[in-house]
Amino acid sequence: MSFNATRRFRAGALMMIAALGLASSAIAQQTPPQGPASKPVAKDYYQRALATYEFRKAAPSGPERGREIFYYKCWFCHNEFTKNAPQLTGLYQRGTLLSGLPVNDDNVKNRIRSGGAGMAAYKYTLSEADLDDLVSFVREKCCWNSDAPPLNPRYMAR
Amino acid sequence: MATCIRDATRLIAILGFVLAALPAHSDPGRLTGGPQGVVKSAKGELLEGIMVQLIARKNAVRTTVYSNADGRYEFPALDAGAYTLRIARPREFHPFVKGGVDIKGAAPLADIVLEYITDQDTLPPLPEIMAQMTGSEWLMSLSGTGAEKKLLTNNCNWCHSYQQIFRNRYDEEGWGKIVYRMTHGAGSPLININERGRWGGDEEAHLVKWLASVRGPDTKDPQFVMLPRPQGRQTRVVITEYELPRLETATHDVTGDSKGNLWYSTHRSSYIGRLDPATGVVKEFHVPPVAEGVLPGTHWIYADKNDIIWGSENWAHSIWRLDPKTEEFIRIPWKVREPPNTPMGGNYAIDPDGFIWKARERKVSKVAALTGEPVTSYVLKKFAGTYGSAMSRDGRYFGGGAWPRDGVVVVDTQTAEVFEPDTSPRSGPARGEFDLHNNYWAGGRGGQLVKFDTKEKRIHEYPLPTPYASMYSAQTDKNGEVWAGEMHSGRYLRFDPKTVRFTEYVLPEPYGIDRETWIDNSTDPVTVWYVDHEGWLVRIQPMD
Repeated sequence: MSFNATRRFRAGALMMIAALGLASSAIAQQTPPQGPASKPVAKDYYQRALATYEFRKAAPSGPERGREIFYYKCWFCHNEFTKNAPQLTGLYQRGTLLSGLPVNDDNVKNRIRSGGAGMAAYKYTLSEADLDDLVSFVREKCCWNSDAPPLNPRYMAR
Repeated sequence: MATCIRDATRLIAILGFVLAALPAHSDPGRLTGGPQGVVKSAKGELLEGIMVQLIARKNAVRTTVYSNADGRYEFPALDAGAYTLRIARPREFHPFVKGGVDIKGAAPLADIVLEYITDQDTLPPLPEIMAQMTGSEWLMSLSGTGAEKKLLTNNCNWCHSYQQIFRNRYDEEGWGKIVYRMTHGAGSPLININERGRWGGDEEAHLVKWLASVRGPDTKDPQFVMLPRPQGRQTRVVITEYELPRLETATHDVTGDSKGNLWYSTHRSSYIGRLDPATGVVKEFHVPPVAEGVLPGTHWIYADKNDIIWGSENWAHSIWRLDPKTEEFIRIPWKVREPPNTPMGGNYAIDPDGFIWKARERKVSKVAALTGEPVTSYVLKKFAGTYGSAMSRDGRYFGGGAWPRDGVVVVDTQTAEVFEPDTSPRSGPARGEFDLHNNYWAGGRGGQLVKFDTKEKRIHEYPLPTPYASMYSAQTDKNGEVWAGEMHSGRYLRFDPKTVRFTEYVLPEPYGIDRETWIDNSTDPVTVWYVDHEGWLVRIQPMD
């Protein structure tokens, strides 16, 4: 990532955090509580655990969020060191999946939803928005590089 | 006379003003000079144990203090500037976030008024609530037998939070595949797979069935029960959290140098870092590339008496030495039997003479740091090795938690005696340190603090008060107290062996995944540091 790109990314991510955090008392995303409760509960993304829970540490959406989902859901098998799982670098340039189906967003998402040999079906745990972000990362930026982990948008002292 | 009366009246007025400006209740050991205020509920109750946090706009450093029984809180003196004021882990209360708060000296802040989410004593399973729950609270809230939950805590307790498990849903087949990968893979990278795994009998199948029953496609989310909020001494602490430059690096150990900097390791990336606590600025150091096909990462990190930094590469099987002045790394290949990407047991210790100590392959070895050549060895009769390594301050004793069994290894290098006592089943003592009396203390994955008393030659165990909490390490301070991160309970333990008193400081995030603590004994009270595996550096400053 170039210096300017890093700055842009950081600025965008910080805006996201600030917007989500500051808006928490102003009902950015709210969920109605169960049981006798007064009003919906806002989300405070300053709570790192919430950003972690929702895979939003790096970005609110898009391929950078997809990278985070990839790390937790894909990297531990599909990494450059493991021998018994397909590498995903350049997947969209290959033409077909191992199943023979053409590589496109729909087929990649279906594969993730239904799983396969040794791979869990993620349809119960990843939402459509999660899949959109994950596939955008696999298509545009894949894959993980342990020599250059993503920058933390919360870190301000650069 | 009139002048005297006027002066006396003025003096009384000034005194009255000063007294009025002081907090209504002053506790011994309270800080002075920082912003202060009161937290109460919308019903008017004064709330104890609420985590009030200020996040500095200029460097994102987070300072958290705790309201006392009168609802009062007080920050230490902070740099003037803009901050975000919020409540960390509000749990039963609606979130409170106020941006752009101008902080200047000890000016009082407006009352923080919190609204209850519900009038029930359990919390609804909303994502924003579930994310705040500690691993202990998740396990207290999910259905299942004690034996089923023990299966999870005995086997899934070291590498990640329980939240990372329970935020998912899979069917039984899916959980089977996930659990297989997690428990048959070597170390945390899971690259090399051991078909045999670590399970006895049908334990793996039982755990999978239970996970599918509580986090299956159609299972209902639980209502959440909560651990108590902090009270009394638990509220007399300041916790500061520092952001680090990168995400997903699996931060592991901390160590302090003589200049007051904190160094941290990352065990799934090629970076280490040095934090200046005064500014929050981190200088990163890029560890030179490892061999192709090997995951980079530093496990143990240690600043020696000359401020030379040492690290162990658990997947690449080497030691590195960094001179911060020249920024030059020297890598020393380490002679181990394990294949690359499988842990070599990289939690080492350096003795006062600069030798590295480790316990592996049925012996405790003293090794020349710059060559990796063994100098002296002590044969073990019972255990294959240790998970952690510690040397007593005088260099006489080696200690470590036995691996992969439940026990402790202690070697008296003066008499060449080797002690290999058992500890209780599934106690799993791992890393630790010797106290001033040369007793060895270890944190255990089963949730026990384990002590080997070198005079009595026997084990003492002290189980944590909070259920489902685990430990990875324990460290002792100059006063003989023991400190350890409680993984999964969102608490940090302070234990006084003299009085067998546990103090659990509640953390602003629900994890407490501490691999190795560093204690700054130059302050009074001591200052405790750890880097959370989730990626931030934490300073704990008790006020008594």
